[in-house]
Amino acid sequence: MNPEIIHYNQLQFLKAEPTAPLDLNIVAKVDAVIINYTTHSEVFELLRKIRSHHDQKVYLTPFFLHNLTGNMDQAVIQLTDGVLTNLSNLDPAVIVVGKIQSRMSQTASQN
Amino acid sequence: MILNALIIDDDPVFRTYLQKLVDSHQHLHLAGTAVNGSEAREHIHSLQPDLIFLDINMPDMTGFEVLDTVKQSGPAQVIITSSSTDHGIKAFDYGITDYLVKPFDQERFNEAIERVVRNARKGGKALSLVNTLALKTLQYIHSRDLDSYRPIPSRSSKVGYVYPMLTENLDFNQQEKAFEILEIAEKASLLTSTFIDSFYACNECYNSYLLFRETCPACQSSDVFEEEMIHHFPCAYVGPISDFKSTGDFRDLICPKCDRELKHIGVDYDKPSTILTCNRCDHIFQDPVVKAKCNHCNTDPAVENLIKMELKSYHITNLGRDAALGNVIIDIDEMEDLREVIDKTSFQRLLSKEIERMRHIRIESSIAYVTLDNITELYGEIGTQKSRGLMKELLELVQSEIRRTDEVVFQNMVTVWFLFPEMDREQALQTLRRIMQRVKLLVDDNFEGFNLKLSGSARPINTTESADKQLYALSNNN
Repeated sequence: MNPEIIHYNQLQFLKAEPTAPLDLNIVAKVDAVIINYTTHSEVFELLRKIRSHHDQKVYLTPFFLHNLTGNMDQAVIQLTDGVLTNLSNLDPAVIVVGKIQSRMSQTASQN
Repeated sequence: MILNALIIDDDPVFRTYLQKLVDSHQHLHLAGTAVNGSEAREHIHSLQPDLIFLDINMPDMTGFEVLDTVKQSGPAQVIITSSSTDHGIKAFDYGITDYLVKPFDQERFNEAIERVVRNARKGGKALSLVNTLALKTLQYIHSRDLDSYRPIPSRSSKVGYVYPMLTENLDFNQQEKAFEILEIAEKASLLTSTFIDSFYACNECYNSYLLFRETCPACQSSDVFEEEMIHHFPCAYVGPISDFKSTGDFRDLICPKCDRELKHIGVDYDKPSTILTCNRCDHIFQDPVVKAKCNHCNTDPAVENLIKMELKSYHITNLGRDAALGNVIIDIDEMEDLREVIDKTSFQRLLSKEIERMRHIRIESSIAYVTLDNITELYGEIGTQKSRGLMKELLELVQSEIRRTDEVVFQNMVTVWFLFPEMDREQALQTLRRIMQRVKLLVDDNFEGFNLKLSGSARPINTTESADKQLYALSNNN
């Protein structure tokens, strides 16, 4: 089940576990990434992998956390683009992704 | 600056020779080798090298055909290696960087690489870590439309704070560079800042989780106990509270001088201060040395030597936004210079190679260090930017005092490491003394009232010990 692509409102969300192997080339092709929150170090490590990638489409990809435990590290939350609690309603994420993509397209078109 | 190099040559003996030269050069990393023209074309596409050593005469195609591929595929610099000078004019028409006629020695090789490095710096062919991270940060701030780019408190960060995007791109041991990069970006008008807070970090590794203790000024032990001082007004006796507890009853305080009972604080006695006694050496004192133990790098500096860090939030400027959008090229290479000043990894690599060389040739080489013992006081006074400038000046001065084959790096802001190939310990010590004299003169002359104290030592390189172990011993002055 990992990774899984969620289609929502014409956007593609890649949903994955932080510890499972993740092909970063797939990250470049989706609109956003949703990671199940497990521990702060596991999430941080994955975030590190994505943000230290050389491809702009990967390192600027919107990154959301899916809260399963209710107990989350505030520092890690602030490093991401938000926390999702209900994956059947991704409307709040869609708004954030839309804004980021619109501003990213300015950088992509000019770089 | 490290440049990825590709060697293209069909002669296996020459390939091995060139490979050794590349491996031993601090600015080069061997990305790959190719034995003919078609393999070369594949490698150029896949490896995207910064520098290509190209043989002109190969069995399947000429080097010039390979050069056509190079021109199409990217900005790599090319050094032609040929057994004759016949193709020189044509080669330079192709815009090559240098032309080495086989056989050539290490000095000629180094000369060619210096030219390559100069070109790369001018042309920005190897984008520095600082420029890359500054760009990523600006793009992050822009894409997230952040009014304020703020540090996030984090227990898992070495410095105690993380900056989104920036810190994730740095190894744990380099996280303090986030602060430096932002400071330089601000200086380059890409960002403006607002002060949030200041804090102190380890002067060796920038760890901000420190264990503070009061220590004995005589023996440095932290095994000290503190007690209140008592001033008995009627007889003017002043002493620690334990002097007044001879009766054994904690509540009864009897003056050891006049034998009267102390009754009311503020009326017949007072507690003006505290006094400390060292359990190790029995030294009694009132001004302990406060030390900050760093469990990350195992140092224990006095608090006045800690590094003061400023925590700021940042705001992107119009210029920063233009840089994020690619309208302006970021070139804030001040850190690039500093990165080379403090380049322990490269030094370690060179030392390993020297050890390897010494195993094959009977020579005596040395490593040495000089510590600028009280320079942190000066750094504290003149601030980070000026301190960096001073370090660069000191490095230039030191470099003018050593041979071209010697190596020197700052291990940190206070210790300088030297590698003296084919120089015994006595000669190394002589060189060291001369360097220390010059450094002291420069610092004392330029900073009135400051008296620089230096110490240093040298040790012969041991071929049976690893570079790590010898550097550890050098750092710990063993």
